[in-house]
Amino acid sequence: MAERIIMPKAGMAMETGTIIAWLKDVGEAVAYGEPLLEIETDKTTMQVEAMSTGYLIKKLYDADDEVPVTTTIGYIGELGEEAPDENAPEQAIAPAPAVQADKSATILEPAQQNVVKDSLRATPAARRLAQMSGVNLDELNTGDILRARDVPAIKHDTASAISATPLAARGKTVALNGMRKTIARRMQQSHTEIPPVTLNSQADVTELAQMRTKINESGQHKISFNDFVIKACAMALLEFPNINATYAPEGIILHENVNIGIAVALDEGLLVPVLSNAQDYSLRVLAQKSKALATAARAGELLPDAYSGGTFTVSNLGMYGITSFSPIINLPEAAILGVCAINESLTMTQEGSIETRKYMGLSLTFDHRCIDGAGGAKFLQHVVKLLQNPLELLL
Amino acid sequence: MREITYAQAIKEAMSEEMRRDENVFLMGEDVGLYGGAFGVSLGMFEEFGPERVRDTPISEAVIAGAATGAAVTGMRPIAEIMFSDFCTIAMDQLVNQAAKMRYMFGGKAQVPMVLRMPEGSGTGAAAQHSQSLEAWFCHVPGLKVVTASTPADAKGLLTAAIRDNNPVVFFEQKLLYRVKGDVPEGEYVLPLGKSHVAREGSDITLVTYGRMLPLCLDVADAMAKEGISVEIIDPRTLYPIDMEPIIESVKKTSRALIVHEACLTGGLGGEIAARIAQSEAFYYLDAPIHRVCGLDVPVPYCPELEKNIVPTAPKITAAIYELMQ
Repeated sequence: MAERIIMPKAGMAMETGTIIAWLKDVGEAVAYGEPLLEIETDKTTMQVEAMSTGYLIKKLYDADDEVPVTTTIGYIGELGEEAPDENAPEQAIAPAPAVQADKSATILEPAQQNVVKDSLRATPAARRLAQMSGVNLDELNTGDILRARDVPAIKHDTASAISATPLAARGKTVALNGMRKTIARRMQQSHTEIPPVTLNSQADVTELAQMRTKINESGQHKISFNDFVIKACAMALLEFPNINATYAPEGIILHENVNIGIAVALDEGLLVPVLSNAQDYSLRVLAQKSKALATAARAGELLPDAYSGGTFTVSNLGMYGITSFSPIINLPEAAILGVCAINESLTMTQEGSIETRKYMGLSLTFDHRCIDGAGGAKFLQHVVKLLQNPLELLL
Repeated sequence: MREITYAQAIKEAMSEEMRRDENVFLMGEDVGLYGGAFGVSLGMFEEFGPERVRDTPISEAVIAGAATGAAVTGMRPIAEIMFSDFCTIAMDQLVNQAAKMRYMFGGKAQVPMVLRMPEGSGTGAAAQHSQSLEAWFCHVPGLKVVTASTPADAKGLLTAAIRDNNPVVFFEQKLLYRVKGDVPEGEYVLPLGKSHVAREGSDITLVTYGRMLPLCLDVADAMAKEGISVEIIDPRTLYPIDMEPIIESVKKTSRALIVHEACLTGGLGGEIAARIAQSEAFYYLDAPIHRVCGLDVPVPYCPELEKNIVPTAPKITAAIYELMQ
């Protein structure tokens, strides 16, 4: 009896998932727990594992198809076994002989008429033209055979540009994995939709550094500079609800909770797990939670929910000596704080003497559709003030 | 240019080569006094005498074996098998001896022989005298396989075959023997291993050879009136086949049709289709590759059936419309 493969509901907010790639071909053996396909939610990418052992006997959806959660997307069964008719009762005891005999109808009939597309039938010439002109043949698919004449003509200059550009003359092409595609899509969307403004500032963290040293000497739990910044942001965002916001066509949504995304770099990409309700936690709890989140994200143990619901993001490149940068806003958030390196410099005190002080660079990028320059500046100023008066962070 | 028949063109090629090279001679059943079953060698016995136009016993094994032996020892025999169907008796000499020697002796032995074999249906000669067996020989490396589709090609290709140092199986088209065409006088040689664009066109590539060529040319003329431009390519040498002009043509037209009289299954059309599909031309195909070939049946004696088991103008036309859909 064939087992369904369904689009998992991997998070409370997940309504649909997009198939990025099947990792198995039809007819290939699969073992329980083996990765079957990669999917993308609106937040992250993840692998779907086989829930039974057998052979992948049918795929109902292909890469790039967006499928509602819990929809059957394929079947695992025995070699040569026919995938069941989706319209038949799920636990059909014995399929009627008539149904069995009419195999072609069983296979070709889309399970749910409006959802399953006919599989694409295109001539090599049509495929070649589509590739040259960047046309997605799936969008042209009407069920009939697609021929070269069905592919929209390429603009002449595009064609000559393609032929004039030697493809990867030297070097190699690295295939896009699911995470890379997600990053690319989301960054592209943010970059094209949002008019960003970046403000750079510095916080004198001399006292904060002293306090951190003391805390870390005595306490069991180490607290990083980034944790102090997250705490400062959590407090500042409560003061500045216009920053803890989302720009939407119907209006600017001011969020009640402060959910801070923490950018975590991986060798192959970037993840942003979300620390929800950051405003409720003490510095120590925040530090524990952010460490746990980063560790779990690196290990690939987080479900899509852990990447959902962020209202603000903190991205730290200080460890690389970066002095300022303009991070890209993580939609649908309205702002992101870039944390830069701490550098020492000589400063004249109010008394007129010269001292060595530590300064941390901070780069705030925000969505000018909902936050104006002065509004962003005031928020950044407040974060700086909190970091320069670190006792406030402990209150 | 004067017009002569396909049969006369073959006789002219043989005669000119025999005048040019004393090592060339003709042998076969009734090729001498009688002038050959189809009259191809009429008059040659009188010109060259019984030493150089030799009648053989009714044994195709002897014809192929003697020709192989003569070729290996320095002669350039032209051997005629009266009907290509009888090649089965000659097969061991041809396949296991003639085709292998040049290779097995590391090039020290040459086998410059031509085996002329009339083929094809349409003469009411029934199943044992009407086959088109060229694909068999294309499966034997060491042989060259040639067929001529016009009188001029017959002269030019046969001359080249006689001058070639490999055993060449030269298929003659029984139904074309009486067809007239312009044939150059004097020495005329067409290279082996070169395909020929018999008609230029832009919408569909039609690959054909032998007696199907004139039929396809007629169909192409009719198609032109319908606004469909058919390019026709005749491989001329079936093995080793020159695919490049075919592949280039398919890249231009994006449609391929192969027509041959020989039956479909295991026919040369499958090989040509596979080579197109495996080439750069694949990416240009805008329809599946089609074949219009003989039906997989022994050639019937009943004339109406005989006419209709081979590709006909309506069948070829239907395939072209299908491809142009």
